[in-house]
Amino acid sequence: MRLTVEKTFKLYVGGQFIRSESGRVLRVRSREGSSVNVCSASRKDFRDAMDLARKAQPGWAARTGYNRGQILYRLAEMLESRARALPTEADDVTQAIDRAVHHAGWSDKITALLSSLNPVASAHVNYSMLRPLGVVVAAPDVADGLTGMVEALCAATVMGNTVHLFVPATLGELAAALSEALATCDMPGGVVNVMTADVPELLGWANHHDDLDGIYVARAAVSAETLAGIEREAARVMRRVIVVAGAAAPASPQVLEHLAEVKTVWMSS
Amino acid sequence: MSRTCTESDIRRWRASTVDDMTAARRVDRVRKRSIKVEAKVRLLELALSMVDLTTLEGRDSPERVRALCRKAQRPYASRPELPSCAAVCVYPSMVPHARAALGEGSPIKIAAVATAFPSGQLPIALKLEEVRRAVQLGADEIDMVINRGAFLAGEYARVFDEIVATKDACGEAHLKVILETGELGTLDNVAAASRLAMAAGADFIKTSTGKIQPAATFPVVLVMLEAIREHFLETGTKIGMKPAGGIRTAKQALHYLALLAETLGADWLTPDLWRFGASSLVNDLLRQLLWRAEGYYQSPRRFSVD
Repeated sequence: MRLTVEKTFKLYVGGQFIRSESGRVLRVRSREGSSVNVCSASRKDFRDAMDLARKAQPGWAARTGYNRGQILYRLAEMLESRARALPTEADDVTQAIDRAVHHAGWSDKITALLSSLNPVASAHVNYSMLRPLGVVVAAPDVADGLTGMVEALCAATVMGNTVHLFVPATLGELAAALSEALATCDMPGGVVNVMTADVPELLGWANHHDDLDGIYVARAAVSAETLAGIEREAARVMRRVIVVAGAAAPASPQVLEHLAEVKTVWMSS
Repeated sequence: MSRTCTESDIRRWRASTVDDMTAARRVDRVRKRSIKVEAKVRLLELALSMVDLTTLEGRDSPERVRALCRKAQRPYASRPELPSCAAVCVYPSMVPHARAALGEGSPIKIAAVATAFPSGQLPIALKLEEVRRAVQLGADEIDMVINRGAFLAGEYARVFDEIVATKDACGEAHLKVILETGELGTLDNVAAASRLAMAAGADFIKTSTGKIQPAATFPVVLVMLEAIREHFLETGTKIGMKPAGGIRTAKQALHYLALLAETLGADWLTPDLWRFGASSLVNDLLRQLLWRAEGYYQSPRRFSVD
């Protein structure tokens, strides 16, 4: 007879695995049927994570696209090496890994694709280029599993943003496995924070944090009422809201463009 | 009043020692205390009114000092009901600019660092001249640094005499004595330096210049508060306390006020007896106050950077 090793899955914030400051833990059923504990992020956890993500953002954006791509590719490698242990369907794992590789490939090309040299009616050189939004909250759809999480974090980070991934506690085990891959893939601390929580509640607090620059949400992840709340509060502070259908297909260049600001420069020629 | 120090005074200042572990444990306990929401709002406003808004950089310019004064008068333009800061703290050369910006008779005091801040390594005659000039230029308060080299070499009488001479040079101005605890090494030294400074005539004792790490820490502040309590029980005189350096968050400020209230009681919860030497702290205090008032966390980008 052996002692049961009970596990509590933690939040991944600022490159550290932490418990919620509130001490809140939700008990959910694991994939194998046993019962596991998942930390549930609170308003204060989010507030602290916001500070860390804001601090990490300029450094992440200043890296070359090539380097960001290397790190996302490394995430794919880390997921690949743990593929069998990941608590989700095999198809979900392969799709998620392919998705990370897909976005890794975009990272040093997307700016070239979406930037432009604009014709203007004066003696100026006028060009537009992309700048990251800043700090983004992402709420992927539970039904998209690991692919939904990887898609959201890759789409946000490939554009130079830092991102908070909001995941419901039912996916806590999977979120923890993804966090372990993130912690070992050379991704600097604070660039991706994974927070298991009561997602509508935490989104409510995100709405009230005016330092947040964007909310990326899968339509099926939230109720119509929650989405209306997100849009109303976003309008108050001109925060970008990006609503996606799901993670069946990788983010189009149009979606990626919404995860960035366009900066236009006039230069006398 | 002439002040002198004898060998027996020095032995007394050095006599009682501080147990680091107990100090750390007491600080931990105070920092874990929960503060209720209504009390928190009042404490945040109180903390705002206790800030010595500071700029002590080589790149200080008159305009920067003017901006600092405007911020001290009205920390957040759209909330004029919020209290103003206690003082601005600048180099002596900037005192006239601060005085011009604040006007005569302003409730916001002007504190000037003097005595060859931050090192204190000048002949005493020059240090005293600097103090006199700063007061002439309009400083209400003088923040002096002690001679740490002499203190660590055991020349306590020399440190004492220098503080006494500086106090005389201050005239009407209040004297804050910076111990620069980061260079004193041990809590025993901090306690001895605090006792020495108070005996020599300090109106306030202050932890640090902000130029040396570690600056203000909780155990150091606790030891200094305990020394202030001893001094009060012996002489009946209330000495003020000013932690400075590295205080950036409202949470730290609340913890310091809790430590103050637990050690010296509510009598000391006033800008006359407690100051925060800080600059970025004001923005975080504002952020927390606006969160309480409006229900939204402001972006730090919405506040002026001093």
